[in-house]
Amino acid sequence: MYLQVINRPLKITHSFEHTFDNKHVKITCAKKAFLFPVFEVTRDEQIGFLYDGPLGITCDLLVHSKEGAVGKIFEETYSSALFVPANLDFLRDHVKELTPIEEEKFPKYEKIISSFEIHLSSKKFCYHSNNDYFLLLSGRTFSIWFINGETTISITHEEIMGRTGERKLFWFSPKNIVFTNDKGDIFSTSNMFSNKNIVKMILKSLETNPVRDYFSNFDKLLSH
Amino acid sequence: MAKEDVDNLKKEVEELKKQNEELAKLMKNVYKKIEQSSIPPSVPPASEVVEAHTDFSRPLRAQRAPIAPKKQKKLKDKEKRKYEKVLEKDLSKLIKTEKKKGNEVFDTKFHFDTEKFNIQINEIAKKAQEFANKISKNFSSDFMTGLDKKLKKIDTTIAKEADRIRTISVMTDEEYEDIVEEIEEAKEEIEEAKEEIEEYQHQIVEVRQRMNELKREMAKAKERFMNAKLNGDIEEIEETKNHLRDLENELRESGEDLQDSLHYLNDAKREFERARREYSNLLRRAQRLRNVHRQSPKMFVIGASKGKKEDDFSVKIEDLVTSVASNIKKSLVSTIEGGKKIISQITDIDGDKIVITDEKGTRISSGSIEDFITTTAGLFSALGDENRLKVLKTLELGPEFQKELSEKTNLRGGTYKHHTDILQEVDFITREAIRGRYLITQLGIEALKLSELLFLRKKKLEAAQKPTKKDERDDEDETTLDIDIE
Repeated sequence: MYLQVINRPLKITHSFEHTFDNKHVKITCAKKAFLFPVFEVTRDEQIGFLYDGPLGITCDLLVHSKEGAVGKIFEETYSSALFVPANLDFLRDHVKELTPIEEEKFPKYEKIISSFEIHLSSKKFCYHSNNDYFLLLSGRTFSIWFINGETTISITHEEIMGRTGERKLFWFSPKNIVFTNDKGDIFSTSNMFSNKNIVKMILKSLETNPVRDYFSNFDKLLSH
Repeated sequence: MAKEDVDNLKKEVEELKKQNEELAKLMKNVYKKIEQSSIPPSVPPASEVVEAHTDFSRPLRAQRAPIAPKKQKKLKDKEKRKYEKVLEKDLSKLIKTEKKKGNEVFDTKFHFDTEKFNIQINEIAKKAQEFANKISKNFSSDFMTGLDKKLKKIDTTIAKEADRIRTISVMTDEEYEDIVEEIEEAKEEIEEAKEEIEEYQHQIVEVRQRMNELKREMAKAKERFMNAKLNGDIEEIEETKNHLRDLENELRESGEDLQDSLHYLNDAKREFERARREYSNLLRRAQRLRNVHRQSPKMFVIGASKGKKEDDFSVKIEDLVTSVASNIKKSLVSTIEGGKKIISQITDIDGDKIVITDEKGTRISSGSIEDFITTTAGLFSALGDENRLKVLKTLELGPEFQKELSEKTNLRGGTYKHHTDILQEVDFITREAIRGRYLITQLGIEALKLSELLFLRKKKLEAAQKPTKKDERDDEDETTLDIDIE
């Protein structure tokens, strides 16, 4: 996939905030930011917009579970980003067309778009007819945001996090892997190897043993 | 006498009356028993002598019904054998049996040796540790096998993806070939246009030369005509006239030819320019496709290793995906190793050496006592309020909006803000960034559990200090017994 920017800019008239339907993510677009249509060269179809200007994103990847809140809150700003797809409803009311900018200034945006040449484009992903998803690719600090009616997924160099609905969460980081389900149970690799859990397993295995009476008090103590 | 004194006397009299009544009851009972014991037995008939004799041999107090033995869990045969063996081994050392000579019945005496018991317990602890290690090893091996399966799955998916990418790359190759063909066609077109232009230019030059010749001839014919006029030769005049007319016609024709050829030349030039544009466009597209094939250093790819430059597109993508998969595998392996380290009990858990684990257990190091005191005081001060505990208890069930939480805890305005701020400072609760709901953190839940544990412990201790109903009954029995003996 080869991306090309075209010198037919749009401009954001007033700064605005937009929260997506899943209510996990909020975007803040700045005033006077430019939006350039981005085409794929091989098919001559518009796939999205290049956003040039400060862009803020706040996301609640925080979920309630039996052992307390799991996850974290993202608050980040990007200098440039790529919006996919082209038909974005939330942009319509805040945008006006401009005359093409000077040709001397335009190569800057071609440079930016050359940094987005990512080969993750399966055909279905980019030519999805429905408008129920939103993809955001940041420029310098590499991060991808996939936002849907129910889910949000963020991919960075350090970790991969995702949330669906109210209670489901997954979190891959080099130190730990965490899952939560609808009931509020947590599965994490750090808990898996704790001494307490191993002792619990041993005690459970000794349930039928008459020696269990010796350990009954310990079991009670550990159960709290 | 004052009224108070009279009232006090009355109370004393009532108490004495009560005591008298109780004493009277007791005395009545005592007298009854004495009467029963003092009455001589009536002389029985000769037939009932034996039975009557047995009646006298009964004890005074009725025997209690035997306590039913508790039902024990039925063990399976295998388990029974196992535990019997264990018990025989373990308990045979602790319990000493003694035989009484002459008697057939074995009597047992239990000697509880604390030293041996301690040794035994230590041995059991060692066994438990070994068992834990075994379990951990098995667990990790199971986990690793599961992981291997998953990784194999990932490999298969990677292979599929690679095939798919290969097809895409083949597509790009085909496109590239098409473009090359188009470029060649464009080149041919340009060459044809060039030839045409050259032809037209040649024609124009010829026409112009011809026109110049005609103009010269015209000039000559005009001179001749003028000479003929001066001389008065009518024949020559007519000849020259005809010649001039022919020349004019030729000139007109050649002029028209020139105009036509100029027109054609302009068309050809336009075509040439168009072909050149197409050619340049095609060249650009070809360059871009080449860029797709060869990864330029500016390109930004997930997990791409810098410095490597390969022409084959499909192989590169495979490498990328495998590198990502290997990274994930490494991270998983590192987590497993970390878990194993924790199991093997390393002394310094934290880098700051706050916690020390010895044979005695986990302790806080002497260097960080001040920090411990200040932070724990802050934590317990956050816990030490009814309203805050109420907030934590409500948030334990699930996240709440501000209004709902204030309604449930009966906190409003400034007090609500004050308490929630304190809890947020200590990280017992957090707030969502977008919807603003309050959530209890993992630390908060642990604090709640700790407070509940303290509460239960306190209640247990209180219950142990108070005398129970059973104890009271036992006391009453003791008093009656004393009287019996007397």
